[in-house]
Amino acid sequence: MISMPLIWIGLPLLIGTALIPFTRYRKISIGIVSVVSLLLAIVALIFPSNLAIEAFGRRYEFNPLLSLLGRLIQVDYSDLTTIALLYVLTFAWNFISLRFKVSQYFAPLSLVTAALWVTMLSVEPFLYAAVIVTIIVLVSVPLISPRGETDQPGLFRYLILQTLAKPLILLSGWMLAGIGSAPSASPLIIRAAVMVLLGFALWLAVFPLHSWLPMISFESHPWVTSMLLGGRQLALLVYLLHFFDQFAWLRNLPNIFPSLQIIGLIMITIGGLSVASTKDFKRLFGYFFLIETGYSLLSIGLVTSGGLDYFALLFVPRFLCYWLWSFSLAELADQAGFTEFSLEKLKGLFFNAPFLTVGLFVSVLAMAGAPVFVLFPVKRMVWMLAGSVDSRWLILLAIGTIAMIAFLMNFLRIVLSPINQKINYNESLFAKIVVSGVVLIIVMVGIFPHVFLPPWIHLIDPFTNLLSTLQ
Amino acid sequence: MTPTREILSVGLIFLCALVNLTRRQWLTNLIALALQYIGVFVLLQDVRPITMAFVPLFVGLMTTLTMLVTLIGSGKMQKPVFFEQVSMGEVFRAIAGLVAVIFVALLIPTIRREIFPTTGTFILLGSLGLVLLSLLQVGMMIEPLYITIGLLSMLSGFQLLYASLETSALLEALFVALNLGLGLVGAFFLVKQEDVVP
Repeated sequence: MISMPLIWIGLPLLIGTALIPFTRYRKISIGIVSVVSLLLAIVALIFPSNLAIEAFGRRYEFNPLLSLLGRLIQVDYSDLTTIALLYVLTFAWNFISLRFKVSQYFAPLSLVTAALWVTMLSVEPFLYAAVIVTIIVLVSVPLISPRGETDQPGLFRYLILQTLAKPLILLSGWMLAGIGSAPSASPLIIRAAVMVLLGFALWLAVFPLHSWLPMISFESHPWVTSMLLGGRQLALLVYLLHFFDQFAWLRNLPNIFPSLQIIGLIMITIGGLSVASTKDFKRLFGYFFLIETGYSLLSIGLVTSGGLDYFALLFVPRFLCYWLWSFSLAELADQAGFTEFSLEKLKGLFFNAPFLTVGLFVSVLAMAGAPVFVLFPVKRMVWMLAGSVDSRWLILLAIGTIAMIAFLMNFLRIVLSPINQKINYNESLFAKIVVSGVVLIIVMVGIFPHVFLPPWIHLIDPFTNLLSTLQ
Repeated sequence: MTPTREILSVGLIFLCALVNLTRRQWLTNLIALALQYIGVFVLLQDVRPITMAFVPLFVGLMTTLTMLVTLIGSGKMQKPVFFEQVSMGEVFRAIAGLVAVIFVALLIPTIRREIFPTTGTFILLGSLGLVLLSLLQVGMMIEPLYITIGLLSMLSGFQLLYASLETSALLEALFVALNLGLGLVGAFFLVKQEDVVP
């Protein structure tokens, strides 16, 4: 029997680690990582539910378990959608990464990171995942702050806050071992719940613990930031659902889901206002992350109204927007030679780089949830659910969305204003085709969500306890 | 284990953590970190067989050595001045550290009764004190080496506490990976500015 964890964890970890000494050969390294991650994603998507494949007259059976140092690593069929999405993300951010001046370790470490995220979601007892998250943070350091660059305060803050979360999660797990049947008002349970939620608040950079997000977005390469934060958002939010699924005491806590709704709404509002008031484009990604995490938490909070479906459907559209935003920004930085991204410096950008300007504009417009674009069908449903729970929530959602639209108006005013100076840059045919293609995909998925999005709803398949209890 | 050894090891841990919190001399800080691991090792023997308790010590010393060698290799190591005049910042950090230690010591009986009834008083005092002093360190300093030392100390304190609660070979292995990774990241911080990208 072939072990499934070896396919989606062992193999990429081995390949990623083996490629580290050969980072000078970037083309080969990127090529191998792209092919491997694409293959792993495809295999995860088409893997048979009976965990057996018949080929060449033989039947190959797969074992979801792997025993390691007395503990288990378990990759179930129901986890494969999340795993596929993690490797799709790795592929999408790798196959054209040669264009950008990112760390030479980008390809191998992104594969290692994806494998570690899968490990985090598969390890039993799953509380040990807390240590793996910290290891992922350490692995990401050379990507965020490559060789030859100065020290960055945002990186240190990220490192410290992420490390702080680990003890909280591990201790909460120890506290709650074997007390699943205690009443939800028990002081022990309340104490553990506070620790778990604080741990996740640190990991997911929940307001007001999000200060490192804009800092790291500003300090690091946009291509790296979007890849790392995108994977982090997916894996940690799915991990949060594991907690709700595994621990009845947590999901039965009074007002836990309304609290998540409020936290999500605050993040959307604060994130939107921060986007509208920011003076530097590179910081924006941090606020996008904040807003999108807010939407995911809001969807989890709306679980009793069917919010989990929209939680699952948000990821692919979101990643398309992240990809387009970071591609356009990275292209401006590395191909057009932009070193600063303050509003002042981007005056007349449209006349110098029309396609990339459209790329930036469309990605933010789509993230704001504008009709016709990719996130609209899902966000519209989240807005409706939130409004049906409490109509006051719509005010907060409206503030966040209007603030983003205000930013877009300002963006248009700046990029369409008379040119400061003509930069010596002609958009390449490749950039034009890529931006046009992705914008087309963003519109197509927005118009025909029922064609493109349903396969990704299986992301929530592992959470049977949560779904059966609350729906 | 006799209380004298426990008291001495807790004292050693606090002294080292306070030195790392106050002084900014790289060699002194690394020596203090190494001694701190020895203090943790002595306390760990209360809850772990000596072979298992030796693992964090070995890994900790390796990590310290990695950073020391990196500093020497990069030519950044300065000769320590042991009787240098004490600055007001150092006095402030020392007072803050002492207050934190007293605070933890006063709270230990309550914490033990309410949260960690199976953990020994000295382990609890050593681990929580170390975590708190490390938190102060990472909160007050911005230089990469001190942040790395602070994070390593915090992990060390937490590892000591968790060892008294649960035994797991996989978790020990993950902690080893984490400590080594943090040491390598610390070394990376020390050299990356001067490093030339090929």
